[in-house]
Amino acid sequence: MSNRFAALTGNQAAALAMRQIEPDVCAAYPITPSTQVMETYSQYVADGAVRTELVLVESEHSAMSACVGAACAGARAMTATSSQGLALMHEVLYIAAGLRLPIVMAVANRALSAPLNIHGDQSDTMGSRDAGWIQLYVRDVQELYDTLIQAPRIAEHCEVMLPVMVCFDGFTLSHAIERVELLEDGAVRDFVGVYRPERYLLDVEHPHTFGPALLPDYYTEAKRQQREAMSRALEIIPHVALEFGARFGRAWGMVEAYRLEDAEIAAVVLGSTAGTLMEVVDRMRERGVRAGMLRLRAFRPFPAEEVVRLLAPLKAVAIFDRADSPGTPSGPLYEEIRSVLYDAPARPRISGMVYGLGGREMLVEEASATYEALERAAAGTAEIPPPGYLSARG
Amino acid sequence: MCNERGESEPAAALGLPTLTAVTAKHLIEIRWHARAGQGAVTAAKIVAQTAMREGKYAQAFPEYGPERSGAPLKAYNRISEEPIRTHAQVRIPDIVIVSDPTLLRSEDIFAGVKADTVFLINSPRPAYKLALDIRSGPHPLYAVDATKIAFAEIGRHFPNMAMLGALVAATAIVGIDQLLLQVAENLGDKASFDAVQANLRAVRRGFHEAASAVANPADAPASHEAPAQPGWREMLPGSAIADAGNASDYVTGGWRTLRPRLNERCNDCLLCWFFCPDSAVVLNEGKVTGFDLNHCKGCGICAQVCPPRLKAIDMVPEGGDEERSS
Ligand code: SF4
Ligand code: SF4
Repeated sequence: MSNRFAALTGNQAAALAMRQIEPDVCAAYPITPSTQVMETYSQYVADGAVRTELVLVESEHSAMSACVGAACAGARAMTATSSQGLALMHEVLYIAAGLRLPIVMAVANRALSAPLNIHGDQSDTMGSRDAGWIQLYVRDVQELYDTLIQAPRIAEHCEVMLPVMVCFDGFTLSHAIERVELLEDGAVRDFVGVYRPERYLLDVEHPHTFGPALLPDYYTEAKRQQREAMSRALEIIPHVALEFGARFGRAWGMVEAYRLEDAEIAAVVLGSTAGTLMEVVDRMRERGVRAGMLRLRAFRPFPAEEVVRLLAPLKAVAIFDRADSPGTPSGPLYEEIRSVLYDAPARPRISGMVYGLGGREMLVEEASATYEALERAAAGTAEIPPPGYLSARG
Repeated sequence: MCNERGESEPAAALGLPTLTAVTAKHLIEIRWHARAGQGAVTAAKIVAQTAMREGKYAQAFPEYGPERSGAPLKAYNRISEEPIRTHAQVRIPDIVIVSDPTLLRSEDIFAGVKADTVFLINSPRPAYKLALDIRSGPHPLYAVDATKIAFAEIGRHFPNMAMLGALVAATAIVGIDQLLLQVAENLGDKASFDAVQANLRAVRRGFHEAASAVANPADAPASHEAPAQPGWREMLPGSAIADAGNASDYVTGGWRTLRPRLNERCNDCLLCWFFCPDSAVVLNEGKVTGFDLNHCKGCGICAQVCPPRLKAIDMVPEGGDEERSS
């Protein structure tokens, strides 16, 4: 195939993956930096390239509500959003997860107002980390494309039946053109398969009621069941990734460990900054420093086992959060990693750094400085830096 | 135990563990079984306020089910000489109050009770008969026809004023004078002088008319374990229900404390049929023939909307538990 490679922005790649998935329903409302996803997709609909029912709504709250309705009815539903849009969807996110609707949403991560800012950080999706959605964070445009294609398979797996957010850094990935290896339409169609929900509203032969009120005598059980579905996803996500890898040659697991095997120090991160850190790791290695990097691809469900296995043997670790959690020692990734390491027989020294807020990318020099601090902490020549901001003018 | 003549006797004569036994406790916990809209939550609040008036510590809080008039609800009280720190439902009550007789059929009033848990039940039946019928076994039981008192004194179905009086007669957890003062104080702002007096009369009558009995201790209530509810593994994903259009399976007739009765003045204008929120007005060829008592909640909307010059629907008390269970 001649056009196997294409130069695409993250948004274009997301729209293309959606075209190949061809969901039954898309409901969306535009917001920077994800606007282009639905803009491109609308063009596909207008051109007759897909038969998707495109629902143009008046807000993100309605967009997610329409997806919930469509998914209840038995449709494969998708949407895209960012930042304030995701915040406006907030209450409906819980409904989608609670009703166990396998909606797939591409989220171009962006800072939340105020101060008003349209640039990238992960505060938006961190705000919905407990909504019951699976959250996958990608490192580059290729992974975004591949992950979106895997997402319906994860979401719709009968043991999971949970909505999935595929999170990609706003502007850094949404607006950056990268080389993407594409799959053929037919191959994607085969991989994704036909969605056959076990129960849905329009199944008049087997009528079901969705969304009942549950009082204190049942609500807890419903939530417990949701937790179980999320832990099933711990197995299903790598399973789907493995099958994708076997077919198409690109494998993505729950985490991406880079040069960690014999490492003594490492940084942990979500999203596109991982690429920068890999560069820095290579430079450190050239100097003979045993440095590595761990990227969590899945944040929900949280890959606790892998995190413990990979990080416990290290001497010093820096955890980079692209979202703050004011009033706690550092960001959410920091909290959770420290928490799962608590039971490990040996633990590394851990530092937490909030970085990249409102589009301030992590510079190679800043990352290097952090690794050097880890190096000193590992050697015992200095204390590990206390949790803080990576770069904030005093 | 009821006496030979089948009359109930004062608790003291039977050697029941009542007044002192209950009040000597460090912490008294009460569970109310009631129906929404009959003032039970207010009554529980009055118990707490009266106790506080007496310098004690107290709690009153409801546990709502469906928030509709007539739906079963529970309310709780804690009364103590010491500060109360627990914020949880009462599971092992010292006192169980059943403020509507129709609840005896549907509610598990024996859940979590101890051998000396005192029962106070609104019922038209004599206490001894009630004790035998519900097999309350060794439990001290008090009965009072609070519904009758409510209609006679207040003119509406607010049995809980009489229940308050009866509660004091049965357990002396607060003083009757303080209780009357508290009721007057609470109602004073919103009710007319006559209405306040009517409520106070209901309290006093409840106090005087409560009668006690103990059934044969050997005739203990059957095991009161609630039927097992499905766990999360059995529930369908997303709490879906494998059925639809099944609202009629939910028999809400049991919520009713008043029942609509049609009289001959009906001219079939069908206003009641339009307004009934439960589609419980039964029509036959355009004429009102009666009410679907499996679903009628006794809300009285039909009687309200029936043209005043006709007043073709009377709301009559549902009657005691005996009548209902027959
Ligand atoms: S009382 Fe009248 S309006 Fe209310 S449910 Fe019964 S029939 Fe319907
Ligand atoms: S509103 Fe009154 S008069 Fe009209 S149909 Fe109903 S009961 Fe009869």
